[in-house]
Amino acid sequence: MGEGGAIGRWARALRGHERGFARAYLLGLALLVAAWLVPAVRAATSTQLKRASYRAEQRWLERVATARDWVEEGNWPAAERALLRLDAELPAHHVKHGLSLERGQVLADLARTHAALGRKRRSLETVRRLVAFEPRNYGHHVLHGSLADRFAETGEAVRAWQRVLEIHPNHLPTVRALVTHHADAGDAESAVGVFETYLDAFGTTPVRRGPDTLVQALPVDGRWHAFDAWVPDVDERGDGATALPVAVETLSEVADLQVVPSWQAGRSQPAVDGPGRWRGRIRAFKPVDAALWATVERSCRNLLAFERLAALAERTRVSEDPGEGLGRDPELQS
Amino acid sequence: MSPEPSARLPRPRPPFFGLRRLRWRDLRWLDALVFSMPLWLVLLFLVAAPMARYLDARVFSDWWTRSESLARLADAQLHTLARLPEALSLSLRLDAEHPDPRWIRLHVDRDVWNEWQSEPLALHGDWVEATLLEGPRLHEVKLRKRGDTSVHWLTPKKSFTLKTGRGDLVRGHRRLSFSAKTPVEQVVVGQLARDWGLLAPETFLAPVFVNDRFYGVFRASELVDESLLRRAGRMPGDVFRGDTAERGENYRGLARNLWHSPALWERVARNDRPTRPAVSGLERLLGNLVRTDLSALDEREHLVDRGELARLLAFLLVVGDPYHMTNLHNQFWYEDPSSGRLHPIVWDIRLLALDAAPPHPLNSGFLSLLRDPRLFDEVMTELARRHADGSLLGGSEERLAAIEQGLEGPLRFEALRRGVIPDLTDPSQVGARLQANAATVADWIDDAQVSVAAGDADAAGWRILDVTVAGHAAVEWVGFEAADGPVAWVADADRNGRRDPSDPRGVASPGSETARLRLVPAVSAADWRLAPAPQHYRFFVRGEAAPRFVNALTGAPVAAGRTPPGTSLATAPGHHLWALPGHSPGAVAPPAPVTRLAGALELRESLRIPEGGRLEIAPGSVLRLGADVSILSRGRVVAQGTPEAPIRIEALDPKRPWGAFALLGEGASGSRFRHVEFRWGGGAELDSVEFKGMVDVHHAHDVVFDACRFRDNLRSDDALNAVHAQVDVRHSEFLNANADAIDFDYSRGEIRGNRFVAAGNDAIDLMTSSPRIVDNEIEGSGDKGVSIGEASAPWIEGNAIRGCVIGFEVKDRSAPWLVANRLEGNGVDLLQQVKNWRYGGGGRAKWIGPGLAPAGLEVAPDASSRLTLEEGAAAPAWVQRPLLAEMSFESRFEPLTPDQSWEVRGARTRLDRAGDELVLRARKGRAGARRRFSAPGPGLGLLEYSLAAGGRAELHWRQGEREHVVPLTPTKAPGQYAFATWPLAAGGEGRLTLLAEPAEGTGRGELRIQALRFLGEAP
Repeated sequence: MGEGGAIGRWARALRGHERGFARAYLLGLALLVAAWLVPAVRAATSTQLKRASYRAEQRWLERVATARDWVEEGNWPAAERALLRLDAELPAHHVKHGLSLERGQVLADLARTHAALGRKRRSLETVRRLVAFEPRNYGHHVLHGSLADRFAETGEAVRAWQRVLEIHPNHLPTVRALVTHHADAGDAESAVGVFETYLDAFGTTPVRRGPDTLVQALPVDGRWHAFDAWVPDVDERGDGATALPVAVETLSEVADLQVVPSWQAGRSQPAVDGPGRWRGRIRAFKPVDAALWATVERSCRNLLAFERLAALAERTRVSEDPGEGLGRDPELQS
Repeated sequence: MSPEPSARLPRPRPPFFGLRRLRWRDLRWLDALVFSMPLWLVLLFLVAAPMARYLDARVFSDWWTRSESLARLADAQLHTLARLPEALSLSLRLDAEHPDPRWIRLHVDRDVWNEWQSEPLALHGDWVEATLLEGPRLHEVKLRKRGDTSVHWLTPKKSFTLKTGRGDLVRGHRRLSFSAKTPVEQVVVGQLARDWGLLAPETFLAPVFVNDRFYGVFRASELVDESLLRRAGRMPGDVFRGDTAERGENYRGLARNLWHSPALWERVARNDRPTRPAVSGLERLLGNLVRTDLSALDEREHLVDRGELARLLAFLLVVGDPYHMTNLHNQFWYEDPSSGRLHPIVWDIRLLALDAAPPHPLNSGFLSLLRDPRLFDEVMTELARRHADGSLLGGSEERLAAIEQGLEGPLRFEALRRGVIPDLTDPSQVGARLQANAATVADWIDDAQVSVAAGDADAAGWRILDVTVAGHAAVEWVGFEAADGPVAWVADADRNGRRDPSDPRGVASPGSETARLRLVPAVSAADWRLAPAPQHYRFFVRGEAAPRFVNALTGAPVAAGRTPPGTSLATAPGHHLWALPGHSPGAVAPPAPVTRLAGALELRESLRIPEGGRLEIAPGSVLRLGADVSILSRGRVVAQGTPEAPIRIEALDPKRPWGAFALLGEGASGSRFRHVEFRWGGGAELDSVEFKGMVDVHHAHDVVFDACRFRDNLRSDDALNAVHAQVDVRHSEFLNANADAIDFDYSRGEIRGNRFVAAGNDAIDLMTSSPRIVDNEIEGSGDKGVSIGEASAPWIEGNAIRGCVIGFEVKDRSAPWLVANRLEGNGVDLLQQVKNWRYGGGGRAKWIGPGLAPAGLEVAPDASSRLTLEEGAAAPAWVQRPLLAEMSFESRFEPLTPDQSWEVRGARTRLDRAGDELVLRARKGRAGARRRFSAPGPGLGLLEYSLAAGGRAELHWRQGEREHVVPLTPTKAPGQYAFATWPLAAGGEGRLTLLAEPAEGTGRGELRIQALRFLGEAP
């Protein structure tokens, strides 16, 4: 466009009304500075900026969700392209950065996608990056172990599983994987050792009765533990193990149950309601599935360690749906 | 037709910026742009800068950045603009060369520093080289950004860790953390924790200058590691750290309550000894705390010190923050390998209003501990004791005054700062909050509440009397109000609600006191607040009388309220006091069990003597112990053999060592061993305590071994090991020790008249111990005759040391007095060196008596060590004089108080504290320094000094009208020191003046003072 175009017309207008425009410019600028001195304006701008920032994040998160959908559908090529772009835009550099959960998730999905496409080197490199990004997230080590195992990198898989158990010694799938690995390799001693370590590992479960938590943390190790629990309102009278109306998150057994009510002031009769105590013994068992127990049993028999097997059997009850074991974040469980 | 050239020329434009006024009519674009530049700059400063900071903050997502808003940052920017002139003026007045030892002066390469400051995580995780200037000394140090959350990195003054090289400590520390977060209150709280005798890192307020520009006021603190333990006089051991809060993302997916999983903890100091217990103390403690049954309390006695926990909780209440040691973070626990107990380390405690709503719940560990009803009672007792003696706030007020006075400039500058910067906290606010909390504590001490419900009399005249205690303070039942006659009472100790024959009982006469029965409240953490809860006690009384109560903390009478009969009586989550063994009313402690051993006995299982018990071994007894079988006594042991009938303790099989003969705890104090022979023992781990000697004394005092024989121990480090103990060993023999014959760790006592032959390693090994070692004979040790390490200061006199590889080894800032000892045929007679860098120097031996060189003794030179000589045929008489007062010159971070100040004389004089010395330097003229002392009594002054060859110096002591002048002679070699003495008159004030002149031809002179002592009269 030349002098006769829109730009030319604007230029002529600016030259023709230079003084007016210059004054308007100065006035506008002064108003801008003055407006900024008004707290309400600063607050409104702050809100708008925050919204804009959140919107940009939200768009990235939506794309992460789409990529996840593709991973779950098995649309690996599309997922790989999307995840690579997402990783490039907000890479997982430092765990202190915002959206670290999602950044890690992108890496985990990317490692899985590479694996599904048969790209061993890229898959393992990505999962190693993931582990370095957030080294105390046991889930990353679980993924590392499973991918390394899938690509027959057995040593790397075992090291990853051992790291899982250092962070989360009650992670049942990893215990199962390690026990099976040792048993398959003919190392019955290590297989039994891993299981014994699992049974001994410090793990607790709350004991609840209705809305009340009787015991915040009952050791779960297959051994009997006495308990002496206060409740704000003793409104039931249990008189045996079967009558204990308690909920424990793993298989458990109860014995010697007693209810101790409070007293009525100045009277010899106990109060019919009000605070009191439950006392007794309880033992809770670590989650164990039938396949795992069968492997342990077979390993003990191979070692001719029948007393050891009996001791383990005393502390073990096989459950049908043992889940992932104890110790997970209750918020995630819900 | 073209116009006239002159008509086409533009009319000359009059300037917009006239001399007198603006010509608005002639305003042009260029003028507007020039005119608007300042406005743009202002806008950039006010808008763009906070926006950039906001966007920087948005990169992170933690509690700090989530609370940040652009509006707040913009407000801060406006504030900064308004206070800019004041800030500039203040910053010009802040002088990096200030002599205050708290001021930290760093120099960093400018490019590196610009990068450090450029963005929050720039250089995060990298060590940056820097130089720290400390008076005339330069330290090569490294800096690294620190902190778990963005509060430490987003601020213009970023938190960092400073690290020196090994052996080059900065005022005693190798690593210091500098935190920007609420420094004033945290320093005051941290120092108060130390006043309370709690294990806490040394902390101080430090203005930091980088490249001679003021950077900010920080809370400097030593890190929790092995160095902290050693400085605090604790045996090196495991320190467990629990932090899953801001690092929580790293434990994603796991339940993060630290008290429910040992896997979430890490060790920041390690006990790597092969004999450490297989199960860590932390695991045992967590396992114990999840138990709710009564027997857990007994075991807990061996895991934690209840008195220390009570002190911790009481301290946390005074600072209003029993909450920040949460289930998720700020947990540091030290496991003492010599006792097996865990000790809390105070870390990151805030100063909050005690009566405000708690910001977090109490942690599960504290709640479990508070199930023991004695603990809260002891907490209140500790508060009452400190309230009564005025030590509730320790030295906080003085410290706050010192902060306000000494750091006024830096604090004023910091107060002007706003924006992405944590609050500094005004010292006056800190003082006010502490006072408010102290007032709340005082109210609690007076808060004793009791109410009573009386039932109807039964056929026998007995009435139920239900007493409920509910206030902060325990109450004591002291008898009955005026009654017609004696009142019989029964306490329902078994809490079955009935009057049983086994229940304790008594009769109270009218007006007189019964046995004082202490009734303590229960504890509740409802609404997250640590508060007392009602606890119920049932009695039966016969006779008409009302019970009388007093506040158990103050003794003030307490008026009892009335509980309506028939209402449900309170119970509480914790245990009832009367359920605890020995705590029911009238409970009589069982007689101390006495175990008597006599004759020839074989022990195939370890023997344990409980606290309060007693072990007696008859003369002539022979105890043969099976492999790894031990005797562990928490009670007193009396093993008194005779020359004719000695006691022998040995192995059943000489090839398979027995364990340890161990005394543990104060209950074993006063033990006596005479004519006892120990042999073939091998050390043991018992009750999760490491015993590394064949015979061990841990945490007991007044233990005597007299005329005993220790021989042929196997496997174990030591024949006799004392840890945190006071032990006398006299006239005994140590033969063929496996490694060290006697090993004293943090112990004292007397080692006199013993004979040591062929110890595998050292005859006597000292770690931070100060025994008297007198008249012993040491022959043929495989390593040292006497090894003096880790800041030990023993008195060693009249010993004969022959045929050892090394006679004396003095290391790691140990300062032994070596008086008139005889050394013959040793490889090296005196070796001084640095062995453990944590102590920051080599040996500091004082050799008194026969000369080293004339006697042909071998002395290994060492640049990090010092040797003070007082040579002569015999020791001078003053060595026997008692020490009245001692002044050393350790350079720490405490502000110099007026009474510590020396007055410098001479324009060219320089006086510095360098390391642990006072150094007077003269340049081209005479230098002088003087100060006043209160003379502690008649006696002798003793100066330990070093003066370079050719130097001239004098000491003047003026007391009253008399003045003594003592010429100080040059010492013989670098690192060599000498003593100078002068008489002290009784009482009064004296003035000490030190004068130094340059050595001829050099123009420089230097007088170094290591210590100044005042000795009493000769005994």
